Amino acid sequence: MAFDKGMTERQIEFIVNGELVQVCVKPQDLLVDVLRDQLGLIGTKKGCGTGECGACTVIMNGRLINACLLLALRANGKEFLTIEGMGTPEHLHPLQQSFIDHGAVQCGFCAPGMLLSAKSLLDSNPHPTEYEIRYAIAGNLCRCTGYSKIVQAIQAVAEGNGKV
Amino acid sequence: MPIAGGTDLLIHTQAGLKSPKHLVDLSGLGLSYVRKEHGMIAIGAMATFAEILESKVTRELDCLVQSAAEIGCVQTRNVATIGGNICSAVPSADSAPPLLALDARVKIAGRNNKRIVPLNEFFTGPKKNALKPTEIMMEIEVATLPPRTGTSFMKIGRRQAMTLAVVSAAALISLDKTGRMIENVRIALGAVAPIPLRAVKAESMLKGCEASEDLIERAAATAAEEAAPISDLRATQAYRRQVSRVLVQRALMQAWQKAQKA
Repeated sequence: MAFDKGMTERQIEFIVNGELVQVCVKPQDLLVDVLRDQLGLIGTKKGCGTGECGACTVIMNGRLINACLLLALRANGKEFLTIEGMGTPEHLHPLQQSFIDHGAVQCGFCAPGMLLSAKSLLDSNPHPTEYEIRYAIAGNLCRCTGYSKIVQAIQAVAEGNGKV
Repeated sequence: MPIAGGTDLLIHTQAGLKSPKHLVDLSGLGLSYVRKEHGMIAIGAMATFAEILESKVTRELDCLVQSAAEIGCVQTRNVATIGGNICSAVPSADSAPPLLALDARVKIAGRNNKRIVPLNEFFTGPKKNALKPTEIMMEIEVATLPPRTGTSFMKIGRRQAMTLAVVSAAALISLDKTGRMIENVRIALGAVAPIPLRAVKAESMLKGCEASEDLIERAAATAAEEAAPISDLRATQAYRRQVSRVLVQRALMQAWQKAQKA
């Protein structure tokens, strides 16, 4: 980062996955680093650092954002959902199950962001067309799958083969 | 340095291209509105493109809605602001051609002053705008559309999504009471000149004339001549000039068709 180092730390608090957290951050800190390094939520990935790959996608106050482009100070008072808050190992979210069933996960690096984007889509548009699905995940790059299986996995949930 | 959405600025700070000592967060200023007032549509500088896409107020401004839908991706649009896009003053700013076609005005506030600048005069060079160092953009204002008006926005890039504009074009056509004559027309081009620009010669070919496919084709050719494209890593000058003609022609045809139905 090009900012002056040695800036004063400030305490902020926000809700992540239903839990209130308090962290100390420097003005130049980014949310993605606070989530990963201070809160241990490493499901949110760092890909490009420029908001183009979507690996750092999280949901903030109900809206999909790239955590690599949010200053941590701006997280104060807001509510976040990361991939860790989507389903549990015992009870996967229908989208997570569908991704497994359809072979939509290869290396897995894009999956957290991709799943949150898919969830955000289905939350507001439960029965999207294929175009609407591709439009909704346009900000999530996948280098492995070629997207077909991802789209099929989302379609399967959208068509009601799994409850959202 | 003020920070709006930050989706552009934070890329520059992280790359070391900008090193502000302080960032002033603009999100506490109440500039996130999209509203109608006194027959005008007022969009606060901090309104995000998602908010513009979702607002009923901006629904009639087709060309603006079309451009907002093609900016970045969902994640970008939820944070990026119209003020940030316009003040970046990059020649390829997606919201510039539609706002130029809509004859938008920029409301500016400084320490002790307020002023209004037509968007036409706001871009002064690549990445240069008319703001003085102590000023910020407060609002973008456009008039609600008169009857029998259609607008359209076209963009072409290196890919279908998440792409910088290689060429973009916006057009507005207002027809007269007979529905045949072009009472008003504005054409704007992006990414093909040092600033987003109005194709005024092409406009004067159309204004006051009977609308026709043939006339639109000739106006589009003139608009392409008014562009001053360069070759860069995304496209050649020749490609940009050719595609300017095509996009202006398509945008005018769409705007005309919509005006006929309006």
